[in-house]
Amino acid sequence: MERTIFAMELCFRWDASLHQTLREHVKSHPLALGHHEKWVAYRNLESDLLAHLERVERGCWDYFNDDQRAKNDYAMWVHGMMTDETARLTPSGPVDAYRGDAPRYLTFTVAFLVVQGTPTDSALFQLCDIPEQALWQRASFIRILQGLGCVNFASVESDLMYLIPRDEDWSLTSEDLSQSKFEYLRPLY
Amino acid sequence: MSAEEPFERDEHVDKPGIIGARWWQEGLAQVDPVARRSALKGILIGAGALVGVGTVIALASSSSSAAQKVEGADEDFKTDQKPAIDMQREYGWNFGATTDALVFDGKSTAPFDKASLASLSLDLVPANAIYAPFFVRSLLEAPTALRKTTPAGDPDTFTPLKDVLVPIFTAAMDAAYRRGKALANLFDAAHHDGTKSIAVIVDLPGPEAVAFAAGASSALDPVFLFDNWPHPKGVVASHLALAACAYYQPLFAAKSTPKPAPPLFVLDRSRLAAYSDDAKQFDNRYVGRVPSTPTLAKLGISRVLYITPTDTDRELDDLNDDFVYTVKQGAQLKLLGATTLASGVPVATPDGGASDGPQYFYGGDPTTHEWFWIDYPWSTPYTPKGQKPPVEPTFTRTGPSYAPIARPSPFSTGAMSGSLTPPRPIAFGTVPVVIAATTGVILGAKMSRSGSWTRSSSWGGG
Repeated sequence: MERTIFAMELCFRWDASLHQTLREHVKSHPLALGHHEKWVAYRNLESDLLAHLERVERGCWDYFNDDQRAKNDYAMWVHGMMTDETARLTPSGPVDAYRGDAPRYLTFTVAFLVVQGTPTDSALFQLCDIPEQALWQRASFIRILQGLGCVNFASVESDLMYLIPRDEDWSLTSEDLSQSKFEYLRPLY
Repeated sequence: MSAEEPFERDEHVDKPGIIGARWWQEGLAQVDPVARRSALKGILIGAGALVGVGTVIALASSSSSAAQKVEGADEDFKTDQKPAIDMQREYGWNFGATTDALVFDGKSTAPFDKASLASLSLDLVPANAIYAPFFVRSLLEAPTALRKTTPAGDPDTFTPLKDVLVPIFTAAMDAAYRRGKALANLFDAAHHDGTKSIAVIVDLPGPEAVAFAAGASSALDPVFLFDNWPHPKGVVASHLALAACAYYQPLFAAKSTPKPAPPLFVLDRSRLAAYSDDAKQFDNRYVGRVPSTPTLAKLGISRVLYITPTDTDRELDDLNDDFVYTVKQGAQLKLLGATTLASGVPVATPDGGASDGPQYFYGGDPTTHEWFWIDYPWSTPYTPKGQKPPVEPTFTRTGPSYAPIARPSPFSTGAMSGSLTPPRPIAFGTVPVVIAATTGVILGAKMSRSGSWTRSSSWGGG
């Protein structure tokens, strides 16, 4: 059975209420749930992400319909989550909202492993059919997030979501983001 | 794993630096629907490339091949619930009811160019870019959408919605338009400061909500939140809201809304319409997605004016949690019955058009109009030089003192503090579809009785 992958990671300038909202999305996602419940949960999540997109500074998204690449990349996202690949290993200290010279960041990632050839796969393909010059435009991310309601989770074998950090005093710094491991997160415009 | 909850969490991380999880749908790993789907031919070109740089994939499916598969196979069938709009996007707006017609009340005789429907979602986009993330374009995209796959039970021919859509203009829309103009007058930035901190939510029956937005658009920025598609058997008659959008499209396209302008979030009050019989109705209901209080605060908005049909109406269940939360967070929320914006003379007939006829005022009279800002003290009344200050309307108004009360419902938690993640009923906004049990291929809508699968007696569920 062949697979397609869709993934998106957004890097937001730190916002306490956004962080709380996103953490709640992860924590409240049930251990077991049905197709429609999952669809609703993601729609709510997408709505919150969209509402804060003005705070997104970097991001990336992927759609690959090569089976091997899809499975490998999905495994990579899972591996990154389980091994703290991009999370901090030590605290960065409390966020000082008034210290404008030291911005902090959070990232939120979602990925879907989709059955290839399904209507959902087809809809994702069309949704992600974005001209090369617009790949890193904020408007393209908005379009994709707005359109993710097309995902029918009956056609999704697996999904993941993670938030970095869980705790405020482990938020990412500019120095963190300048490391090569974050090169895949490109500045949006 | 259960049939109702096929997704199970199998990986989980919860550390100070990261929190996340993975869910797995084991059932999908046990069958190979793609390999068995001889009726559907997946064509892959240039596999492996990012779509954004030019990969093309096509899901090729013809109704004839699908029908042959069904008719020639000895398969059992089952039913499952699928999101209604997903099915419509894939199988057409009239999925399962291709021979049924939409009914339009109040067809307009004004000139209408069908080709302009192609730009409907662009013409109705908010004028101010900061509201673009909240704009829901689902309904506005429906007219030009084409069927991607032909269900086995539906005819080969498909009529796009744009070919059957006609603009409407009714007396109720005319009144709503004038009410919108009255509100726009009250929000005229030249005479009133403080309006930038206000978000307005208009929650009227679809066509009237659109008309109100059109009337108000000279001072407020309409942000449409219509998140469904019309259907001949739809619970929500959203084709009427769409027909009203078509009527006012030239006005919205003119983009007369100033920048900046307070947002006017536009909801169709029939979005949660009662639904009971899935054999006769298509559940195209949806919930309103109004920005939350923290989100509005980022836009500098701390006041919400919620407009209902009358002063005694209340918010629908899907907004209750949000409204309770809004008030608990210290933001101000007040209600305005649309009928408090009224004319002292009878409403003109629809033939009068939108530009003629009586002017509407808060309290129904020019002398009471500016009293609005005393009932809703977020600005000060404007009194032109040499004129008398406003007088109080004679009728009772309860909207200004309205306070939302938490109530449990299928769409709300009933929590005293409200919630940003209200519940949704299971199977809300979904439709029963017939699926070939062994392959997982969707054969059509259960409500469609013309499908070849109807000869089978082995439907499950439903």
